[in-house]
Amino acid sequence: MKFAEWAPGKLIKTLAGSGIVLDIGAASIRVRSDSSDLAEALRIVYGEFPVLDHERFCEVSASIQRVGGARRFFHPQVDFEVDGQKPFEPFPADTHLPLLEWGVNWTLAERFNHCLLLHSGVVEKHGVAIVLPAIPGSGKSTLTAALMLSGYRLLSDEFGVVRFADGALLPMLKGAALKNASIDVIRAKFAHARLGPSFPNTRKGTVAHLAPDADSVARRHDPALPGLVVFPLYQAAAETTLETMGPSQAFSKLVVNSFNYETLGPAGFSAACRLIEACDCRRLIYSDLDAAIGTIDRLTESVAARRL
Amino acid sequence: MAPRETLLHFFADGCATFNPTRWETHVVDLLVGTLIEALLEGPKSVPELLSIALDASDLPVPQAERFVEEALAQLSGLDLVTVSSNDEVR
Repeated sequence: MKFAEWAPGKLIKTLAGSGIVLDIGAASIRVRSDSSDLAEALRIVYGEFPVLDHERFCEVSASIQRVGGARRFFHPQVDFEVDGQKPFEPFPADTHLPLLEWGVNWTLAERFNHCLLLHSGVVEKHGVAIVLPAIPGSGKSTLTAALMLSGYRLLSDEFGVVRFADGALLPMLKGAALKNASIDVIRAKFAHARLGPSFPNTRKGTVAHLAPDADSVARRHDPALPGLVVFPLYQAAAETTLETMGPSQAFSKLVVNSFNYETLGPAGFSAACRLIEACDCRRLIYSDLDAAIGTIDRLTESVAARRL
Repeated sequence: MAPRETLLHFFADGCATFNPTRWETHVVDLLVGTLIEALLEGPKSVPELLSIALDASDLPVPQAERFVEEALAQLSGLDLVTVSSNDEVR
């Protein structure tokens, strides 16, 4: 059974009690909360995820709880708690899902040191994983979301999880955080996009989360072999430009876009070198999503054809 | 000296190094990578390094000498090599 099939009341009750378990592929996350609004948001964004036994092992146990006291009447807030710790100050209560997502991402980035963790979107088509590393504000999430909505399998919009043993990319499948103008762009362009509620006035502006599609959820335990590294950069009104990058230049840029390269040392170095050697590396400047998707389609087909 | 555990990876257009002593990553010219690789096998004199540079490139001798000198200065700054007073490079 999927979360989307649960009655809203059951999700609210379970979330407030034993919690729900989200198996996102490379990790599992237990979520508890006394916020019924969060329950509804999770039902939309994680609706395709299966309902799992709440006693299973989870790498992260997170909760979003309303802050008590008189303040809750005039300025309600919520706390993010992970494994008994509260790493952040409370957030406004109406930013429950962004806080949960950021908190879980922060926790994964801190802990997930048995793999190289890149700050990147990852999608896959024809067996070719495309890594889209970028700094915030580069249009990474928008492009990643658009690719998923155009037939690519989504592995992650935030984490490129590189397994040391074989260099494969593991899915870390969560809601794709769209920000500000990109929310309307995606909504207008893809009628089938399933978006959670919009959260205005977060620290990053307005945020809404795109639900991973059913195929991506069903295949969240399937690793993918890397074939392309594309560094995206959105520039308003720019022509679509695709530049080939030399591997050493791509390597330098890749490791800058990693959460834990510095921590991992030699293991991170070897994993990053291996990834670059396995991939064609490009820089993509875009403003038109259709043109960007078409460009990535052609690149992906070319890499897939070479593998045959 | 070049730390024994220094990691090298030769890409088609450059060489990535990881220095475990300083926990630092650098991307260097392929020829510089070749010099580091030679030093990982054992100490070399500057003339030996010059010979390696000449074998691995099309550089004429004066340019190769300048290249080796500049490369060693750069690598010393990164703690990847030590040049002793008798011109032995480790």
